[in-house]
Amino acid sequence: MAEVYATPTPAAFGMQGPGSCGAVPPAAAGAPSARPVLSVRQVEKVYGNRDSVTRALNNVSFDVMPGEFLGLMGPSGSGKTTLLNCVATIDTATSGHILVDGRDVTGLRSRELAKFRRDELGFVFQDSNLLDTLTGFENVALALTVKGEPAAQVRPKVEAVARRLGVFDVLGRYPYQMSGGQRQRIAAARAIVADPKLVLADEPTGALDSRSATVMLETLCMMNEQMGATIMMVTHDAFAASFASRILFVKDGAVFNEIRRGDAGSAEFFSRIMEVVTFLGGDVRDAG
Amino acid sequence: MLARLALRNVRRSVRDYAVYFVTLVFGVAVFYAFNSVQGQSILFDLGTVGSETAFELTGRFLGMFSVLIACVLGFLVVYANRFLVRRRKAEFGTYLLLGMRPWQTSAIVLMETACVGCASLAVGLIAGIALSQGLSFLTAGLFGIAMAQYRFVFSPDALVQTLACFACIFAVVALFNTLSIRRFRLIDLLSAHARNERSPIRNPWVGLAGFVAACALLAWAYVTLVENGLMEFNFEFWKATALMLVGTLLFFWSASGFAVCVLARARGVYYRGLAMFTVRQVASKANTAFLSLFAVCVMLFFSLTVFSVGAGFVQVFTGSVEESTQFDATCTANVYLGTDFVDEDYLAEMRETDPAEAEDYLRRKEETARQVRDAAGQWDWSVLGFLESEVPGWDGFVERAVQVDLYQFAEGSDTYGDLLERFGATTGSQVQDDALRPQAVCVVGVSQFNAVRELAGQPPVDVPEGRYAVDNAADAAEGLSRAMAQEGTQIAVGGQTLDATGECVRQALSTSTLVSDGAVLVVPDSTVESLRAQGAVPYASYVDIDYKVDRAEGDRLLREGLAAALPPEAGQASAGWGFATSPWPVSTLVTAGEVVEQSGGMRMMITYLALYIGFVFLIATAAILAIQQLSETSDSLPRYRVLAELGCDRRMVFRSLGVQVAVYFLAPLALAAAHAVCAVGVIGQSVFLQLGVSVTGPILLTVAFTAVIYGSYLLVTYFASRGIVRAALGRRLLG
Repeated sequence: MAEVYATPTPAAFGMQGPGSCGAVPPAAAGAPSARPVLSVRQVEKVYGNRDSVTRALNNVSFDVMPGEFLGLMGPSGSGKTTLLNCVATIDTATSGHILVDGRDVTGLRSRELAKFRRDELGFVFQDSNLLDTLTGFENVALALTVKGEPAAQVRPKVEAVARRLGVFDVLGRYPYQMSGGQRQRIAAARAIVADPKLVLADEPTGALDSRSATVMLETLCMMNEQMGATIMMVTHDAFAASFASRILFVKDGAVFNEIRRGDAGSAEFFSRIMEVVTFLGGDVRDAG
Repeated sequence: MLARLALRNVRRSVRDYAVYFVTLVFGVAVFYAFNSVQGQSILFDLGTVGSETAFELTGRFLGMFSVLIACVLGFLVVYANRFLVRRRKAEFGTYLLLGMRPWQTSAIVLMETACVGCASLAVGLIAGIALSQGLSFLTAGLFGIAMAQYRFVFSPDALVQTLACFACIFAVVALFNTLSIRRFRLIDLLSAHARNERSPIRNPWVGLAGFVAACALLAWAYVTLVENGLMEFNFEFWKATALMLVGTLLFFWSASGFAVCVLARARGVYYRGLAMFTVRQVASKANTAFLSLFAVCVMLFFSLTVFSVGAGFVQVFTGSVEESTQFDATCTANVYLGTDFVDEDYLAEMRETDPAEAEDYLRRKEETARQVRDAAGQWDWSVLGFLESEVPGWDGFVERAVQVDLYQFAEGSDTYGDLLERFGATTGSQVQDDALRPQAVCVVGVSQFNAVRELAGQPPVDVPEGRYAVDNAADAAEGLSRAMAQEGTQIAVGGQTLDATGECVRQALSTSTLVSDGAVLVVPDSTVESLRAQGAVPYASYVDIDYKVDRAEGDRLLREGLAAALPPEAGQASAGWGFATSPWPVSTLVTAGEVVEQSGGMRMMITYLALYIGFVFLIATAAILAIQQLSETSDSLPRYRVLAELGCDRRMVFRSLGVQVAVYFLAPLALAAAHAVCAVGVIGQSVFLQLGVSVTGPILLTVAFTAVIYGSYLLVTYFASRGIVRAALGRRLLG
């Protein structure tokens, strides 16, 4: 059974273990009355025409509470990236509603969408998506300047975030002068520097070696726990998912299962994830 | 097999090759059209009108420019090719990975280059031939030159030159490609698409130093140019040119680093919206493309300078033609050539080497002077009287004719040198001042002057006894004339001191190619009589004629009449003279018809050349910039996608795009304009001021012309770039 999973067992790397930083329950867990940061309600996404319809998302509903670190897991083609793109307002849902901080984004016009993205969301993508002509500092600063942050506050804010994310030393470098892990953490800094309501991460460790991946995931955890960021992360990797506080499993465009870390230890949470993955079908490792 | 692959590649990457193709077509067309100017029938027509000298000069200018243009074109073609190879690195990597040998890959590229090269050469030549025909038709039409002598012009010389030039350029390109493909490492080729061409911003201090050095070099070039003037192509001229080229290159090499260095410190500007992104975009582009920006700037400079100088010359010929053709014809007697003129250099030389010849020369001169005095004396110096009685049918075609005699009597008269000194005036040219200095002040009698005024349809001037008015029709002498005409000024003429009436009029005294009557005193007839009494003879006499018949008919009758009255000797006839030219009664005949025709010809030729060079160069540079900017935009699409994902709306993205396009277009234009202002200013000082043409008009014309052509390219590029971004990102992402 074990060799089915490409995800290396943590022991093999001599690390603390999976999900090591997700031990603290999310702040929201103790306050169920708080308003969700993200509410996805009966979202459908249909491609194609009358003759051949592809249902990428089929009646998906879930909430993300403030301070949560949500993992979206699923095999390739399950619709998890489509879901992320709909939440990110890069893609449009065919029907249903997506509410961010109580505001329905499905009805926004394109001008408002851009404003919504820069004010409320932060992004981390698999290939970091840094601008190659800008230094690390400028890449992070851009998220502030497009929001209209006063010029005097740009430098202190960027430097503070970079220090916390351990990339202060590479701020002066261009992306091609950085390692993959540094690039991803600069991207994470860019995602969080403007203090968004929700950080969306799409396979943030997909292009990283396992050591950098762990550092990156710990960074996300730190952002979640210490900086209060609400994170929604799409991944096909059980190890990466084990850092989240709650995991939604998506298959064939629908939410298939949900597990919470609760008080479980890291190893326990990881094995619970693996159980679900196994149940979902062994094809998870082909994803990504 | 390789050939088929090559052909398919060309078809497949037609869009990429478009850049290369367009560059080549433009290059070939410009080069051919440019070099065939000498073979243009329209210019040969001009040759018969009598502007051989100007034509010869034009040829020399063209030759000089052609060498430079070939270099610039060569550079542009190599650049476009480099751009192409860079875009296809990954593809070449695949060939090598599949086991193709480097020489085979080179062969494919070579065949592709040859294929596109031949096609563009053919299209370019056709375009060039069409362009040269079209332009000659256009200009001929514009200036009303009869197309009777027009024929389809194909210049084999220009063809050979073009083919040779581009064969060389292709050879360089082929060599360049072969070498660069051999030099590639497989890993670089395969991962080429993943990385952009990286040239990090240069060290800020190097950028700063380079920028300061560039400014210094340019300043030095300007100073050299201003001090040297632009009258001849001497060492100083070439030094200024070299300094300017090097300075410009250094300017573009260092400008981006310098600008980033400075702007990044201006936090208020840099940390606002997309400013950072825009600055970096432009800087990274300028960093890799500084060579082509340099070339574009040099070409723009040529274009601007040629156009404004050309427009200036056109003004010279347009502006003066009305003033210089107030009379249908003028017969001029250059009396001074017979009475006063002594070749001092020749005399001095002969005194050294052959004293006998010197004596002989003086004797001959005296003999001529005596003959002139005798001939003129018979008619009491009345050229008009001579013509009226000797030219058959004079009354039949002449409506009215008046004679003006100009006197320069040295004894007891102020010289122009005295006057220049007294008023601290200058004609603006040292050479002209020096020539004017020894001459006695030139005077004309008021009744003759008023007769000329009447003939020209102007009111008479009033000059009481003991006073004088000033007539000036030459801009160079305007300052001097105004000073001379100031009330209270006194000028000595033949021992008599005259007071200014304060009047200064502008009246050309004859019909001529260029108005040259400057700072002439209009004096009472009694003053002239007293000069005559002292033995003065006119130094020149004009007879201004208005015809009863039309100009062409009048010209014919006048020529025939002169030939009958003054039959030319065999020697004169073979030299092309229709009548016996002599210091008196008639040295030259200039008719208004001739002047109009000649100035029209000159005007046309100059406009033609200026349009040719200026227009085509401007279009070529603008097109190249446009292509570069468009390909830059499509290369940058992933960056725009990131911006959109970060939440930049359409307005922000398009504004950044607009700034990029504007900077990319306007930076080379600004520097080129600075160069051109310097060069045109210098030419204006040394040439146009003498001819009485201000450079403001031509400069404004050039600005308008550039604004329209360059501006429309800029706008087209901006909107096309917007289109590319909009199409790639879609409505949803690009809010």
